[in-house]
Parts: sequence; structure tokens; C-alpha cells
Amino acid sequence: MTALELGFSFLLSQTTLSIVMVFWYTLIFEFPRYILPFLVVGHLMRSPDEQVPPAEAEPSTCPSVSIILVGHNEEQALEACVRSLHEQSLREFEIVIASDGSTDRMRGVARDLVRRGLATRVLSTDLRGGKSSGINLACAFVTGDIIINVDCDCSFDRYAIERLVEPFADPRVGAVCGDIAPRNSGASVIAQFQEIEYLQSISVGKRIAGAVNQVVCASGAFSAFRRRALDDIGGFDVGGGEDLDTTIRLRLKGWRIVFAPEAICYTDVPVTLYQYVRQRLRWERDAIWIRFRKHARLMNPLSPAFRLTEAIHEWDFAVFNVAAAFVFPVYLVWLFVQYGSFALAILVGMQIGLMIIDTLILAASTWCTGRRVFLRNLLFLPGYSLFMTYVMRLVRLSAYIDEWAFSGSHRDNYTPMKVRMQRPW
Amino acid sequence: MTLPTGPSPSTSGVMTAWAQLVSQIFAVWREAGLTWKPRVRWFPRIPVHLDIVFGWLFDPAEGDDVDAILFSDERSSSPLHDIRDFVGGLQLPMIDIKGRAGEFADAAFDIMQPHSWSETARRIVGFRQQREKLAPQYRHTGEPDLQILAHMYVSGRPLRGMRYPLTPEAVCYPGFFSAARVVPIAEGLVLRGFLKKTFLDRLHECRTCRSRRLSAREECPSCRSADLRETALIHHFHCAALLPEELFRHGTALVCPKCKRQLRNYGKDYDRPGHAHVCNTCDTTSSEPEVGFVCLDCSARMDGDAADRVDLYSYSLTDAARAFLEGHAAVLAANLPVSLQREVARLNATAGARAAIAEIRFAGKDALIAANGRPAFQKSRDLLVENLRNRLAGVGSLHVAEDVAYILIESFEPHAEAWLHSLLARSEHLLRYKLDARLAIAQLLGRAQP
Repeated sequence: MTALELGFSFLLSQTTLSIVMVFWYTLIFEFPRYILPFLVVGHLMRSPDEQVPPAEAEPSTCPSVSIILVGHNEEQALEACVRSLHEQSLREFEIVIASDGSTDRMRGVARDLVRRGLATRVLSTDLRGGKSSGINLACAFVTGDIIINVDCDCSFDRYAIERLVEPFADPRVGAVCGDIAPRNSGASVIAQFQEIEYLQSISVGKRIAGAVNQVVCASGAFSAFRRRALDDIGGFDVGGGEDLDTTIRLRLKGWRIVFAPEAICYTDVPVTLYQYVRQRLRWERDAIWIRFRKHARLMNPLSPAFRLTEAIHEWDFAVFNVAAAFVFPVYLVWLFVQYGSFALAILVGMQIGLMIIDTLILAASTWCTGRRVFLRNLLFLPGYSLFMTYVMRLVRLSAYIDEWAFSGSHRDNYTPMKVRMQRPW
Repeated sequence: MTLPTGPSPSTSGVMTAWAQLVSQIFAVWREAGLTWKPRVRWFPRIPVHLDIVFGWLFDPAEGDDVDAILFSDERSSSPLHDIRDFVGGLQLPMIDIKGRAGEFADAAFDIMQPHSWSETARRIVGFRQQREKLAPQYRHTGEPDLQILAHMYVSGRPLRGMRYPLTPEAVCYPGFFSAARVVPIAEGLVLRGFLKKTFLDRLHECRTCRSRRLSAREECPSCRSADLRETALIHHFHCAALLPEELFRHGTALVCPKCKRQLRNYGKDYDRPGHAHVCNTCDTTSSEPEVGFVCLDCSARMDGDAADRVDLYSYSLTDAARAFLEGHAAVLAANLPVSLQREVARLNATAGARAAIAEIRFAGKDALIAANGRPAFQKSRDLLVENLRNRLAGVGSLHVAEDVAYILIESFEPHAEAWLHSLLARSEHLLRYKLDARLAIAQLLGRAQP
């Protein structure tokens, strides 16, 4: 018998308690956090059929809407994005384009769009100031009560804006974030993995978060803000992860953040491993500094700023993202120390378990969103499970260490040097 | 007639000094080759105070036997771009005796400026010498297109455009007719191969009144008001506020309206990444004002890209035109279809014949080929030819080359040209792809009765 066969024999001969002892990592960090909520939500929160045209909203219920497109060197993507906005079911909005120190033809393209009546106005700067300052500039000159911030490389489902604006009928709602789906998932295996990931973490993950008032990031790619709420917090603050930071500050001011699952935005995701890892390193570093440096007091029960609702998502991230990344290598070492050559069989067993979880989650997501994504992604699930377990956990771990020890986010050119020098974090 | 040595001997008294001056002028003229007393036509009239002295210098004349036109407009501010529309006689030099015509005249004559005497003489002699090289039928022609060609030939001046703000066309062609009159003729001559055009400038034209006197201005993209004020944008690094400077300004201090911190150190606390334009009419802020035009003549306002663009050209004679003007019909004949050359030879040998060749060129050819391909052009041209042939019905014959078609009318009457134009328009009207066919009488044929 090979070591692997021996390992499987070993696993099969274990009692339930022993199995729990072997797979403690999966049972702690994977099962409770994901599979249970997904199965529940998958059955309870199903989107309406995409093919059935929705009822038209009463014109009087639609607030005034301004859409801002802030970008740096987005000449290629800008027009397609604006044209997609003009295909919306809701047509009454202004479009303000802010070119943040672009050195390509973005200003000219934007100006041309205004000239052709496709956009309302252009604001531009000669020097790049970063995403936050660009958004603040645009927000200062829009006229709508609702400000929708979209990335220039996005396109939208026909009812996206209408669905995104609807939750503002509740005056307590300060921001609404929409669903985001990759537009180019067929471009590469990495992009296909991201379709599964977005489906889990945004399309369904935020439904779950929304159900328990735990939406903590109104994505910078596609979110709407009540102007009064933004004024309440003084607009966007400097640094990367500005969407997460803004959402947390809105929550701290008592505004509700809502996820609108039928407001769907499509975006191009990274297609190469390098681009993908680079993007995720930035996201994870930003999450660390915003959550555990800028808003660390939210975790401290003794702080006056402490709120249980905020502590939950802070601890959720600390346990299921940060601790899980740090513990995983420890778990691997422990497995090999404890079980020797049987460790390989245990890892295979764990992977099979994870794949089953991912399959169930994908099925729940498919049911929940009503999109035909199950069969298309089923073949990629084994690769996805392995990739997320052995590659992305390490990527996250390195991002956390980099941020923790070396303030890696401070090196990121996403925010210009002049701002980083003035406002170190 | 030779030039006298001076005024008649009976002249005396106060006129003696004038008489001596005239003698000096004659001497200079003789040196410059002007050995006869020039015969001139006055425009608009001879000034009363100059009639005696200028009567010594020039002989008044009318008709074809004239050496020059003396321009003596007393007004000091009237525009001159169209002076030749009224003066006519493009084969003759126009001599300015009031010193204000500048380039609009061919020479300036000032009785007190000796250098102008020789210039005048040289121009009169030069025009005459060149005029004599013209084929006789073009020396005194009244046809505008031939006058233009003839003037370019005898004066040696190209049909050169000049920016001219005193007319709605904003361009003039000094020495020639007004732009409104000369440009269509010149374009026709280009099509006939007699002129070569070179780009001069591109102007915008009012869609309402066709004036090119437009005021360009920056406008608010929202309400199109030109009442804009420019304000610097300030980026406060600390809190990402990016707003107009006026919101930061507290007297001499800059205080962030968002975080209330004072901005002290340019480059460290803040910078100025750009400017914004604030509309004083609708209060809209934009970084990219639009360009718009206001017509100075009719006050119509239009967007920058709504105004029509007009290209201006200057024109110069081609060798074909020189040969044509000198009467070398062979230049035209060499390009004619063989069938037409045979007909031309026959008619030139026929006493009493009065025939004409009308030339049809296709101004829309390039655009049509670019849009629909060469087969579409060829098909349209063939259909046009067929239509024309049917409509001519024996009155004339049609001869076709690649880029041009000719109609030979054997009994050419004055009204025939208008009839041909109408015939062409009706024939083209039936076409799906328009050729923008242009017709011009290229040559009159035949010889006088013995």
C-alpha cells in the first residue's frame, strides 16, 4: 500500500471525535463561516427571474441622481461606461466625469462626451491627487441628492441604477452597494476563478451581510451614497481602501448600508496571476490598516467608540481572514509533525471536503442569484479550491505581514506620494 | 502717338512749375519704356482739381484702346475688396492716384513721388506687353472667367487670398473681383485645369447668415454663457479635499473647509492641481469649457462644431491656362477624345462656323469613390452620359474621357450655355449617386467668313 492509501485507511478508521481533531482548521475557519449561511441564504433570498421585466417605478419616488466617474488615464474605457449608463431603465441623472491628473486623452474624451450630450460636465486636474480627492471634487459639484460612484471600466445591467437607488426610500439608508460580476470571466482561468469568488463574496456574501446589517464595504466600483450622509462624514478620506473606510465611517454615524443584489455592475477583472495577486495584496493591506490601525478602537470594548455591530465585523475579519491565514501554515506543520506520512491523505481529504463545501456554495449561489453559473464553473471548482487554499491564503498572509511589519500600503502608488508623505498611516 | 517733351508752350504763370514737373515725369517714363502718352479711363471720375495736370499726363479714353484705369476714389474708408467688380477691365492695370488702394491696385502714382512715376510706367508697359501675348479674343473679353485668367496672365499676379475683416467673407483677392464673385469662378477654372489651388486658411462660417466674422469664446457647457470666471483648485493632502480656492480663502489665510486645518506649506500641505471655470450665469463648475462662436454680423450663437468650416485657397495659372490664353488650342485638343479632335479639326476648317466645346467635370468624383467605390462612380457617370445623349437629341455630340465629358455644340448661340446647364442638372437629378457635375464652355471654335 502506498502512504496515501494508508492515510485514507487511517482516516476511515477514525471516530467522529478523532475526525474533528484532525480537521479542526476546516471546522473552525471554513465550515461555520461559510457553508451554513450560504445554504440558508441560498434558500431564503432568491433574486427574481431576470427574464421578467420589473414593474416601473413611480416617477415621483425617484430622487435626483448624479453619477460620478472618477478616473486616471481611462480614455479607453470611459465612453463604453457612459454609453452603458445611458441604456439604463432610469434615465433621469447627470453624469459628471472627473479626470484625476490623466496624462492620456481622458479629458478630451470626456469633453467630447459632454459635447455630444452624453455627459453633463467634466472636472479635471493637471496633477494626480488620488481617487479620494477626485471623488470629493466631483461630489462638490454634482446636484443630485444621491451620488453614485462608478469605476470607469464598468458596464451595467439595464436596471442597475434603478435598483441601486430604490433603498434610499428609507431615510435611514446612507449608502447602497450593488453587486459586481466579472465581465471577462472567460478570458483566463484566473478570471474564471474570480467569477466564483465574486459570486461567493459579493453576490451572496453581501446578501448575508445585508441580512444582518453587516455590509461594511460599499464598493468603490459601484455604490450610491446619500449626499447628506457623505456631507455628514466630510466626504472621502485619503489613502487606499477609501470605500471600506467611508462605509465604516457612515456606519459609525448611524447610517444604514444596504446591499442591492439586483443592481448588477460588470467589470473587467485581472486576467493574469500577477495582476490578480498584486490587486489582492493591495486590498488586503488596505483592509488591515483601515480596520486595525485607523479604526482599531472599534474592537476595544473599553473605547467610547465601541459598537457591537462594528466589533462583529472587525472580529469576523480578524478571525476568519487574518487568524485563518496565520494559522494555516501552523496547521500544516502540525499535521506533518503529528501524522507524518498520513498528513498528505489528510490534506487530500480536507481538499475534498472543501470542494464539497465550494460545490454546495456554488449551487446555493446559483439558486440565490438565479444566474446560470453552476455548470459553467463546476469544472473549475477543484482548481479554485486548491488555488484559494494554497495560493491565496499565502498571498493574504504575506499582505498582512507586509502591512503589519512594514506598512506596505504606504508604499502603494495608488495614493500619490505627496499625499502619503503628508498623511502617513 | 509719342510722348511729348512737356505741356504745350502756351502754358505760363503759376502753371509753369507744374509743367516742369510733368516734363520730368515724361522723362522718367521714357526711361522706363513708356514712350507714348497713356490713354486712361478714370474711375470713378477725374478729380476737378487735378484735371489740368493729369490732362497733361494722360489722355482720357474709353473702349478697348486704353492703357490703364486711374483710380481716384475720394473716400477714405470705403472697402476696396470689390473695387474690380465696378471698375472691370481686368486686362488693364489699375493705377491708384490717391495712395490708399495698396494691394488692391496694380500700381500707385503720386505726382510728388518720383519713384511712383517709374513704377507706373513699368506697370503700364508690362501690362501692354503681356496683353499683346494674349490671343486676340481674350484681350478685351468681358467674360468674368476669362478676365480673371487674363488678369493673372498680364499682371503676373496669382489669385492670392488675403484675410479681410471688412466683409462677411473675411477674405478678398486684391486686384480681382470680390471673393463672393471670384471664388466660384476660380473653382470652375480649377475643374477645367486652368488654375491650380493651394490652401490658404480654414475659417468657420455662420450657419444663419454665412458670415465668417465670428467671435470665438469659451462657454459654459451647461448654459453656453460666456460669463465664466476661472478659479484655481486646491488639493488638501491631509483630508483629500479638492475644491476651488475661494472656499479655502479666509483673508490671506487658506483654511480647509472640510477639516478646518490651515494650509501653510505649498507642496507639503497642499497643491494646485488645476483650474475650474465657474459660470456666473448658472453657477455650474466645469474644468473643460466649450468653445462657441457668436456671429458678429447676425449675433447668432453656435457651438464650436456646429459652425461650418470653409477652406480658403489661393490660385495660380497652370501651363494649360497659359497656352489657352496665348491661343494654343492644341493644348486643349491634345487632351480631347479622338472623336472630338476630328470634329474640332473639321469645324476649324469650316468658314462661318460658330461652335463651342462644353466641358463637364465631376467635382463629386473623389467623395463618391471614397464612399461607394469606383464602380459606383463609373456607373453613375455612364448613366449621366446616357441621359445627356438622349436629351441632346442631335443638337450636339457627346465625347467621353475618363474624368471629363465634352459636348460639342455646332451652332452655339448665347442662350445655349444656360440650356446646357439645365440639361445637365436634369440628367443628374435622376442619378442615385450624385456626381456634382460642373459644366463650363471650354472653347469657342470656328473662323470668320472670308
